[in-house]
Amino acid sequence: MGTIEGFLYGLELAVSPELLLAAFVGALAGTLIGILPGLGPVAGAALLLPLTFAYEPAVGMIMIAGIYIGTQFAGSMTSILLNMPGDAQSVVATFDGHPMMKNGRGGAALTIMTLGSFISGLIGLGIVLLVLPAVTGVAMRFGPAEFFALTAGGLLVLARISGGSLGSGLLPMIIGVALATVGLDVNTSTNRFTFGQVDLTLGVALASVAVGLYGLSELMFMLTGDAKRPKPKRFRIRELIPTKEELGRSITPWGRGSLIGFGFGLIPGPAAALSTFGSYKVEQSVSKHRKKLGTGAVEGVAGPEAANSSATIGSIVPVLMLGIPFSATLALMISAMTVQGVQPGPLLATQRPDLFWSVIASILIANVMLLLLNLPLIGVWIKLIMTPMRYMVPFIVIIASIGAYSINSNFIDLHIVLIAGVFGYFLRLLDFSPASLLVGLVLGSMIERYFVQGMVTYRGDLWAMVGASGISITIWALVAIVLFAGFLKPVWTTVKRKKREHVS
Amino acid sequence: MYSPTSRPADSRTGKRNRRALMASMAVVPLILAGCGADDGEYPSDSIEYIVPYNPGGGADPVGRQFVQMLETELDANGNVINVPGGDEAVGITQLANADADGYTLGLGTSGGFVAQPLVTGEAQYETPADFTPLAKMSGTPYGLFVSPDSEYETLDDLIEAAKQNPGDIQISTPARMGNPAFVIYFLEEQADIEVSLVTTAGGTGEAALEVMSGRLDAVVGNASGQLGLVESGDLRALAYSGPEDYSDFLPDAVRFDEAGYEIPFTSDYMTMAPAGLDEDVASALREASDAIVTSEEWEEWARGQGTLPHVATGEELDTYLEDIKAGIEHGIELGNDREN
Repeated sequence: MGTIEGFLYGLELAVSPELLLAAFVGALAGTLIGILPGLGPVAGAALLLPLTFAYEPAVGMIMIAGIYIGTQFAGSMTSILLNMPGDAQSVVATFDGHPMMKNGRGGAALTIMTLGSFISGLIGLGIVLLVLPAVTGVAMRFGPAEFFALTAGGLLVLARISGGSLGSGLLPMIIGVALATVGLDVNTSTNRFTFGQVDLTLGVALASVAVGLYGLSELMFMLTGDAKRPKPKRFRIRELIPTKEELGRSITPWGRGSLIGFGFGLIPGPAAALSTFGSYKVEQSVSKHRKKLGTGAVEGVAGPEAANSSATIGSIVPVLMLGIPFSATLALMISAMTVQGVQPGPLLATQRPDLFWSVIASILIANVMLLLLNLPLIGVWIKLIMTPMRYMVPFIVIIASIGAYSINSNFIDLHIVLIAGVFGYFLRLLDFSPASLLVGLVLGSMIERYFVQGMVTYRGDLWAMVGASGISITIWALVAIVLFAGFLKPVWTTVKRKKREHVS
Repeated sequence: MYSPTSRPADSRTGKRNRRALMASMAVVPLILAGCGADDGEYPSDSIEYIVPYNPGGGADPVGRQFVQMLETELDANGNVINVPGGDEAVGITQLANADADGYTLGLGTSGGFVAQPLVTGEAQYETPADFTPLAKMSGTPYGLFVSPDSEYETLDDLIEAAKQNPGDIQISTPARMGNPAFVIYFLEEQADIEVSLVTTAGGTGEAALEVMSGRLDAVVGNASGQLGLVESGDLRALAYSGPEDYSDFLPDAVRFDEAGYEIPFTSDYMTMAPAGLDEDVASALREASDAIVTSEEWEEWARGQGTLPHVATGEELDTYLEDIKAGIEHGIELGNDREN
């Protein structure tokens, strides 16, 4: 099936009432949970995910796509309204979005953001359709050596660039990798670190850890009064309409942001977060109104938010084609797929074209849903943020527990949620990054399995594995550049200075 | 004709929803189970059926079909509960620890029921001591597959090549101690060859991909799961295990038995109950299970899935369990002696 026919086929599947409803529910639930204080995309997706297990694969996956996009949108919304970013990729939205809110243009900022997400979503999808045949060919060539390079290299890169001090990312990541070793090891068929507990042979489920680490710990912060709960200003619907000038100034940043975002999306790493910062940097240097950035300039909202949205779409491509997630939310998406009996990988598009294409098409539909849903409902969302804690906390705990239990019908997951929650509280209290722990947990087991598989395939020759193909060598070279670029920069400047001195 | 892409999904949605409801209200049935009306008639309550795998995949539909037919047979309500993990060990442990009242049954293969306790030494159950075996529902072969452009046209080609260069041929399986791996160990021993075993990270699906891409020479996996790839010309079957003819599905492959190798392992889904059932409950369940798996409806359904309705109940099943246990013990021995 060609890409265009495939997409149209997917669109046809996705506009069936059942799947439309799934996209609607996903987008609505995603926004809802993303907007609840501090829950944010990861915990939100973790909470809602198990509910999707109950449906057939296409419905479940479309709901997840909707949830994914919905939570990201909600994260940026709280950034603008409350100066409270839902997660890393919506931090940039506070730079100009919140000042716009203070200037009385918060409504316009939201509209610019929503429209931008939609437009860049469209652009991103267009690019996906163009590059997909090429990506499929490349993905088929991925074996253990390439996967090992991608996962191990990706982990190294993530440790280097995840923000904060090196230790604040590295330590939780190591804990995550260590946790990933718990369970039944297929290579030796022995149980590792299960201490005779049969239930632990399952390993530590990502979704339960995510619910605890983000969800439960956030609730604990709310209860101890450490979570900030600023009161949003009321605003009128009329303010939602941007002026002609604001719209005009947004168009080029949207375009630039879309391209930047998609590029970042394809690269392993925290694509969405990097792309928003990247796009903001670009706006700072090329925008006509660059001097005004930071004081409530519409370009500062339009560019990064467009980048955020198309990075999301760009990063779904490696997930569907290779099955490798580089962010916690995408990892949850993969675990949802495997629970549905769908193994992401290069064969997905040929073996389950219905699923593959309906997911791609449903991303577009979820974007439309968000557009239709969110602008009129902003008032409702604001009310929701104001829900008293005495209702909110127990409600979220109940949803979270049901969700965690239904992953495996096993009480061990509830224990994991509890432990991860308490652990996450202290982790965050001490400014360590919980996201690194999740990424370590996801990639850790992949790295090990691909490493072992590769070492057996290449008969114990490590260098044969590293140099197995151009893809593998390229990935390792890129990793080396990212890792050592920081060290090389001072060397480079010294060399240049010496040269200059020499010339003069 | 069987096709993995077009399983009627809508017929499963209802059952899945029911499962979700059950999962969400997990506490309720626990309470109800404690105070179920006990008027001496069996069954007077709903029956829980543990499937030690996630929804989807190969095992889950077998369990669901069985439960659906059991509902009619016993005129009772049945619920499938998916308890994945530990190569079936987690779900089977729950089954072994469940009350022996006939309201908890479970699915598993000889890999989970028999091999797990022998392999890990940590399992809290033993088969058949801790169970009441009810029925063996299928006996689908494991296939030995190569890429269509592989130099090995027949099983003999592959064995000949392995004799020339011991250890050179790389064959993939999902795990080192499981039925598919035992198929390879038995072949090695009986053909006096040596191959290298590679366990793939993503299960049989990814193993098939490794073979299609030419990185590995062959894969051993559940034959019914690979039929789609065989039909689309991405994989070619050389041979298959088990005692029954599978040439309807893999016309170009040879049965190991016919080629002179005795390899008994199949993907053998079984239904068991905990040990110690009341005799009348046990006989009601045995009768119902026997009626299901020997029915035409079951045979038709199984063949539609690409699985063989190679069934056994009663004494026949007890004998099967003894035989397969001996086979698995030997497989584990061979596995432990391997260096690669």
